Amino acid sequence: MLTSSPKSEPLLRIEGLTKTYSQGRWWEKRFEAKALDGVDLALQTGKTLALVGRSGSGKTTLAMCVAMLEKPDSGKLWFDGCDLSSLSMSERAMLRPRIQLVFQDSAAALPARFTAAEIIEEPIVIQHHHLGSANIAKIKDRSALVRELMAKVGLPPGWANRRPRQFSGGERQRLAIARALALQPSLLILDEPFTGLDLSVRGQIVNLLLALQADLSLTYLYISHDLDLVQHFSDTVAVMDRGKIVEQASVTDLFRSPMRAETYPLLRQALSACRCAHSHG
Amino acid sequence: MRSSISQGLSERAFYGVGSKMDVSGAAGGNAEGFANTASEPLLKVRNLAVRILLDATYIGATRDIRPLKGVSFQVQRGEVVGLLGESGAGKTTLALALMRLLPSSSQVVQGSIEFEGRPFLSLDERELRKIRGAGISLIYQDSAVLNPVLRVGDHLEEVLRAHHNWPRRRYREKAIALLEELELRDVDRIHAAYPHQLSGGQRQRIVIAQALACQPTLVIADEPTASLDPDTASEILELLGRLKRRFQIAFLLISHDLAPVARLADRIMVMYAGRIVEQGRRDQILQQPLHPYTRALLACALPQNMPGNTASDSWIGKRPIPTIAGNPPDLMQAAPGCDFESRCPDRMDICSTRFPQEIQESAAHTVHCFKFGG
Amino acid sequence: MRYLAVHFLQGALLFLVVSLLSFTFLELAPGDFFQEMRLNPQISPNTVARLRAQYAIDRPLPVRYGHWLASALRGDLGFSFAYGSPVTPLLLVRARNTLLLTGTATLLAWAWALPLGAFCAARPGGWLDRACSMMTTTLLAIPELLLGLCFLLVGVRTGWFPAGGMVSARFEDFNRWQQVTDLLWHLVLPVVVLVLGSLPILLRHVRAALLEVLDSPFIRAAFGHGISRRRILFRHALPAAINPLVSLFGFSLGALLSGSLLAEVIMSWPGLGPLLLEAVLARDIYVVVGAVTFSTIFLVAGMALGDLLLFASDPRIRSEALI
Repeated sequence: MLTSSPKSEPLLRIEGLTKTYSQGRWWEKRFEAKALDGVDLALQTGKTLALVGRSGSGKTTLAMCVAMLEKPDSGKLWFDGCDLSSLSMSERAMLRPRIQLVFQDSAAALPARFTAAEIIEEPIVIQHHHLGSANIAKIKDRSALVRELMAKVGLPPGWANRRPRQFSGGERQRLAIARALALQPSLLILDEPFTGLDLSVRGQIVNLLLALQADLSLTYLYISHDLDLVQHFSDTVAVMDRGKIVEQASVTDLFRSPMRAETYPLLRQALSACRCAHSHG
Repeated sequence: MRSSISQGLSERAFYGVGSKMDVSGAAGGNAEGFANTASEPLLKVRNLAVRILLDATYIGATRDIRPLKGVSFQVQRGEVVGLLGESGAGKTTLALALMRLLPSSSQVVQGSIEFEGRPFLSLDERELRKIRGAGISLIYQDSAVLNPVLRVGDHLEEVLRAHHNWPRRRYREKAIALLEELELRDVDRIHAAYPHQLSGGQRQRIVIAQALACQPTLVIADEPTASLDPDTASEILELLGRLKRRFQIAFLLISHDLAPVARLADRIMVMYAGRIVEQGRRDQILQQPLHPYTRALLACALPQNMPGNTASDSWIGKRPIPTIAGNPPDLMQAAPGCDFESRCPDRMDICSTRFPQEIQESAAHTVHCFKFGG
Repeated sequence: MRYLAVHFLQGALLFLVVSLLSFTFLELAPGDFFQEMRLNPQISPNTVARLRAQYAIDRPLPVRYGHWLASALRGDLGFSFAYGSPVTPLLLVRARNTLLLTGTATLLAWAWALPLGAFCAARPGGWLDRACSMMTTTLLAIPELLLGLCFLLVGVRTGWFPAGGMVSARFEDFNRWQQVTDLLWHLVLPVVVLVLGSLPILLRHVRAALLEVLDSPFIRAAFGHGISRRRILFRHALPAAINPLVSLFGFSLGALLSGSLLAEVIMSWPGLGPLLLEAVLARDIYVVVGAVTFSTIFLVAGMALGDLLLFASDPRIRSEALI
């Protein structure tokens, strides 16, 4: 789906990605699981691609490969035009700040002993050590940056010295988002960031991410195993099943007329709650 | 009304009886051993309140936090009552209080519970043990409630042993039968397996099997599907529905998500900040919600029902979704009036003065809101 | 299996290192077995020199070590100058005596620590817990030396218990039953001293491990199912808490030969401890090296056994090892 104009070049392009996990000692081949079986994907800048599928379909593995936390067995991955497999380790390290992750269980993902400010500025500090970027080294600049980020995600800057367990679930998720934004990424991988949140808080985080996307031209890779929020949060949807992408379409197309059989059960669940409310009684 | 509860050092034992309540007056007492007729509610809770004691030395002054502030409801035999609420609503505290499993830092300060017509809070430990697991049982939220060094078979047999006196072989047969009842395949292997060798869905089925082992009449299910993915969650909910019909079990289904409640419940209660703000039949709550919190909650849960969406699929598309401004209630602040007042779109002056009384809008539908009187 | 092989190799390496070090340290210490003789004017220096040559003490260290190693691998640990007999049978007899003592003491200590610790953890702050806490603090503060002497004093003054030793003088004349009772009678005081020495730590560990487990969700759930307190404590909580305790038990096993030196010396129990002490003081080289090496091997074996027990007792470790 590439046109000749460079502006519509996808930020992320994946071709033929495969990854197999095997279990057992080296002299015996016991059990192999094909997590990814030839995946093709394209993600445009400033858009949200939702990756849906049952558990075990390979969504998380794909996200890990994009985040460069796992190495695929074969296939190609282009980020902003660069072929990731051809990069050296230091070149890959330069790219890492541009891809950040937000996880599902923020309580577990945030270190309990750090204050909020330390959590947010940690990526900056580490980057400074590795790459020696002098312009964000000074402490004064760092705390100003932390305050700015906290304000951006809707946390009172005065809370910079609180620890994660003093935050509610939704506030912790905001903190995780602030940390992810610290290095000014282009791509944010969101691994089920809304599950476990209260219903009323869920909407706040969704709306926050939508606003941030418009404001900072972020691109989202949104992983979810249910479709209830996908319809409000994404532009395109890719359905995964057993390591392959079985259907990929814009949100409206998918929800109006899903083409593949695997998509139906997922849709059915999303609509079931709504149907329950209307049809019974 | 408070009763004197002696929290001697010896009673700071790990979870157990809690403190024996000496309730007088508020119960409206049924004598013990009262014969239970079919129309008697299975569970009758009146004005139940729970307090957490914060250690004086830690805070500097003894603070009184009330996760439950006065809750009243009933559960009939074979009925599924859904309890909907977010964090801080007091759902888990209610579940623990109903089983008298509150940690020693919490205590019931007022109210009464009647189970099968008999007062529940004043039972001694021996009688309580008989009811727990066999009369009322609890399905826990996540399967960390499975002992990692015990096999699945042991888990089930221990529950059976606590309430029956059978020859040894019978325990094993019953355990296998239970596993089959819960639609587990490869039953022999699972019977001998340890919890960490099973998947999340299988573990949750074991937790349910434990709760049902002695055929209780009331099962409290605390977020039974929260830690599962939607496919498994759906299967578990279907299973619970089938079991309910088959064994005529009453369920108190607690959830912060609408889907399980909307699917299984006959009646729904909505909780906020330790109080029930609205209760009614499922269709009443889902289609004619009265309390502003209920309406806001439903809007969050079902964004496709947003006002202005007349066409069936105009709700698809990237857009901000409804939310409730502010944060879930903070137990540390005790407000004299309605706790939802600060986030309520229909707030009135009277709302901050006192908590509204119960208003009966129709036969089964009640609400606590000044918009409807009180 | 690979696990056992690794441990075996480690044990062998340890054997070499420890024996070499023992040899070296003894060599570095001034003097040798025949030192005292030189002070005796009635023995001529030539005699001393000839004795030394006869027992090959005048050879250089590496040579002696080599010889010793070669024979040790055949089971012959050398010759004791003081006792005038081969080392191996001497060690075995003494080791047997020590094991009798420490085995009994360890068993009793654990048999008391487990239920006591469990009951203390069941009601933290209760009367039993406070009493045990006081007792353990006191016992920990009292040095084993003092404890041993106190009990010895009690035994001597009251005459209820023998003042040391393993058997009475007329042991050989007794019949089988009398021999057993005599042995037990002599066993009491040393065992009491050892148990009182090790019980406090065991008790605290058991209590701590159980306290942690009793906080777990699955224990609370067991209450919710109506299972009785006692059953939860011993059938649900204790097995789950066994993990750190099994490691501790491995230490106990390893210390069977080496942990009772002080008690044995005070109570005159003819075990490995006093033998070792005498041998060091007398520069009886081969006894020292033999005893030290023997104890070390025992320690390693005990801990390896503890690891194996851990493997057998905790299902989580078992399946992790399969991956």
